[in-house]
Amino acid sequence: MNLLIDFLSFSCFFAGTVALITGSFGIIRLPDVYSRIHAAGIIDTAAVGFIILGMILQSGFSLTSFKLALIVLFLFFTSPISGHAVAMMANKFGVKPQAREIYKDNKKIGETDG
Amino acid sequence: MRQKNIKKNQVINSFSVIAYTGLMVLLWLILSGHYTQLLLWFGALSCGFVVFMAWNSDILNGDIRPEQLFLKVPLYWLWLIKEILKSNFATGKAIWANNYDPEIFKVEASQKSENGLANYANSITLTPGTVTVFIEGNLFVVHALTKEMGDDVRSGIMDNKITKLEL
Repeated sequence: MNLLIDFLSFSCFFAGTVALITGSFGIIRLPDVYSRIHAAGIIDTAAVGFIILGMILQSGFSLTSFKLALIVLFLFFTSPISGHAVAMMANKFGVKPQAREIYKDNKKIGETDG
Repeated sequence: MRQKNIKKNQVINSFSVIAYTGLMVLLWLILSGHYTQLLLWFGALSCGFVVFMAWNSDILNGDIRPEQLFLKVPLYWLWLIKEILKSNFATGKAIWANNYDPEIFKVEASQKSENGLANYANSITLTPGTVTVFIEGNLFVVHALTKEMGDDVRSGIMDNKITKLEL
């Protein structure tokens, strides 16, 4: 039983590390601000989630586990806000995304009227 | 696409005030672990301050139903975690294969309340591969890393789930 929990938590740590490396690599590799937010999103969700899940498995059924779970909960509420803030500010100050724009009407971002 | 005016509900709901205060006190008691008189007073003070700030910013208006927080929302979170894992895998694959084709598009959100809209925008941003760039009324401008991820948002499954959540 102990061995099984150790194996599961080490698998979680391994998955978290892989996600961290993927996210860091993506931040360097992807072309512009908007795409790099996606790579940061991998670190915010999968990497943190797996590493803390591994920690919860290690600490067992205790108050520490509950606190660790709360960290994930609060992080999942706050990390999209930071991602959205970066994207919104980049858009506000005129950073052009290297992306195909698919609009039904030919208007720029922020010029939606009715 | 048309744009609706989102009206802010400013009526304070007493049930949500009580539930919110109870949740804050419970959270403080669990996280603190020290129950001397001085620290309990500090706890009461900080809980009171947080509830006062929430009251002041008109978020205790019954848009968030506290009883839902324990019934419907965890089921939605489980679904969201599944979606997050799926899109994490897809984003990671796109990064390592250097195979991406970013696109920007608009989606229309069908939520009525401000909290529903915030929930939808946050859910889009939380799944890697899609980011809400700009919000105006109920129109979201979304940046997606690949076409498949954009299709996931455009299919409107997440939109429907959140709209069901707020009723």
